Amino acid sequence: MEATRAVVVGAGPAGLGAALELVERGLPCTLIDEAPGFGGQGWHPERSFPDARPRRSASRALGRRILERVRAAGSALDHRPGSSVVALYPDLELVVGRAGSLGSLRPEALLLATGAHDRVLPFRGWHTPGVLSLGGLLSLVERHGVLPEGPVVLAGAGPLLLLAAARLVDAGRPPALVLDTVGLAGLLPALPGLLREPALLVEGVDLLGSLRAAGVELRRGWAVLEAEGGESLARVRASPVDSAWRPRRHGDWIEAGVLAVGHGLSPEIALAAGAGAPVRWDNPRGGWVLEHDEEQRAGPPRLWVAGDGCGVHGAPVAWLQGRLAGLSMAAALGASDGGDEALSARLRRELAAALSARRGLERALAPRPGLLEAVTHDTIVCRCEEVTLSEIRDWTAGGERSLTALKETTRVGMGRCQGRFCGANLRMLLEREQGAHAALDEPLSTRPPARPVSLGELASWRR
Amino acid sequence: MSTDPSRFRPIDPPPDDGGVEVVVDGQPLRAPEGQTLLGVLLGHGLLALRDTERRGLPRGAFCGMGVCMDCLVMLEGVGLVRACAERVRPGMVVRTRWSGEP
Repeated sequence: MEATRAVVVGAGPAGLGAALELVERGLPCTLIDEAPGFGGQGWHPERSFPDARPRRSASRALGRRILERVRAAGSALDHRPGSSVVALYPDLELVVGRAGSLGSLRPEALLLATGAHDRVLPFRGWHTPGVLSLGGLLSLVERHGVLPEGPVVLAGAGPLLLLAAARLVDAGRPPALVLDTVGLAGLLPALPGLLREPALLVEGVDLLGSLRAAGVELRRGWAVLEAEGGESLARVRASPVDSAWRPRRHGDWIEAGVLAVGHGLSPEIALAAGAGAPVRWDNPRGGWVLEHDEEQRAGPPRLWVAGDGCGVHGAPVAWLQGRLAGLSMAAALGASDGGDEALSARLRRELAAALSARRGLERALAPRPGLLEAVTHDTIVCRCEEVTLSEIRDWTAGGERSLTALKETTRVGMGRCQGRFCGANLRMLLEREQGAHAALDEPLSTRPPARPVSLGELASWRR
Repeated sequence: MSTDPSRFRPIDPPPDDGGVEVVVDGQPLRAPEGQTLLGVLLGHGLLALRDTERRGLPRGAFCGMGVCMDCLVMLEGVGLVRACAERVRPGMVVRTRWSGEP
C-alpha cells in the first residue's frame, strides 16, 4: 500500500481544477484516470477535419487554457493514465488497476471527480447493433477513428444532440435527420438564464447554424419510439411528442443504418456512494447526484466530490467546483496560501451565478416520463441482464417497491454496467406506476469491482 | 466473420504497409498503430460483436467509453475485454461473437 497526501480520481475539468490548486501550493497530487490523456470525456482532443468550420465553444476554449496550465505544472503532477479504480473502501483505501496489475493507495485527502455517462431512456429495440448513445457516436468519431455510413438518425435531448450532429457535418457526413425531443416552446423557460450566460446561447446558435448550412433536417418535438433490425439496425419508428414527451401517435418508420440517441448525462456516483457519500434524486441534474457542502466535502471525513458527479452542469461548473475542492483539500493538508479564503469566496460567487444561469436550461432539457408510454411490455429495460418491462411489472404487482429489492428478484441492474444505464430509468418507470415515494430515493446498490478486473489481476494482488 | 461494410468506415485509411496486424475471427487485418480495437472492428465492417447470455441477441458498441460493456470481445491470452478500451497491438488475436466458446 502506498501512503499519499492527495489523490484525485478523474482528469476532467473538475479533477484538473483540484489537482492544479494542490500542486501550485506545493502539495504532491496523484491524478488517476482511465484515459491516456487529460480532459475527461468532454475536453479530450477533437479530431480535425479539413472542411470543418471553426466552432464557437467557450467551454473548449477554457479547456485549452487549462491544459496549458497542466503542461506548466509538469512532473509536480503525478499523472497516472490508463488506471481504473476497481474499489474504494470506507477507510478511503483505493484499489487501482493499471497495466494488468493491482495496487492500492491510502490518501490523506481524496477527491472523486468521476464525471458522468450517457443517459438514454429505454425504447423497444434499443439494444440492436447500430444503436448508440450520443456520447458513443461522438466517441467513435473523436477517439475510435470511424465515421458512420448510410442514413444516420440522431435523437433525444441535451447539448450532445446538436454537438454530435455538428461534428458529423464537420466530418463531411451530415446526419439524415435530427429529432429533438424538446419543442421550441419547451426551451422558452431557459431563455432568461441563457441571456445571463450568453456563451451557452452563442454555442447553441453556432451549432444550429452549422446544421442549417449543411441542410440537415431538424424536427423539434419528435422522439424515437422503436428501433428494428435484428443483426443490424434497419429502421426506426418516430413520432411527434407533446410537452410532457408523450407520443402523439404510433409514428412513422424511417430508414436508418445508425441511430444515436441520448437524453442528457447521468452522474457517475458508484465509487463515492460506495464509500458512504450521501446522494439525492435530482432529475434535471441527471438522476442521482452526490451531495456536498460549499467546500465540496462529501460527508465521510477526508472525501471531496466535484464535477458532473454532483449533478450534470458541464465543464465550466466542474472546473469551479474542482478548484474549490482543491483549495479545501489544501487547507485540510495545512498548505493554504494567504489569499485562499478570498479566492474561495470569489469562486463560490462565480459558481452560484453559473448554476443559476443553467437552471432553466437544465429543467427544459430534463427527461420527462411521458416518453415511457412507448415502452412496451417486451422492451428490454436492463440491457445487461435483459430484463423486460413485463418482468418488472410481475414483481411490482407483488407490492415490492425499492430498487434494491427489485434487483434481488429480477437481476435488474445486477449486470456488467452495474445499473449505470438502467438505474435512473427504473426509478422513472416505477415512479410513473407507483407515484413518488421514499423507497425510490435509494439508488441501486453497487459493489466492487467498480470496473472490470481479471481473476489473474486479483490473484496477483496482496493487500 | 460476418461483415456489414455499410455502417462505419475508417477516417484514416488503413496503411498499405506498416501499421499493426491483428487477427480477428481468423482473418488478418491491418490497422493504424494506436487505434482502438473497437475502431478497427467497426472500420472492417464488424457491427455485432457479441451475443447476449440470456436471450442470444446480437450486441454492438453502445457507449464507446468503457461503461456499457456491450463491446466485449475475446482477446486470446487475456479473456473478455472492452474493445473500446484496448488499443491494437501487433499479434493480437481476437474473436467476436464468442458466446458458447470454451
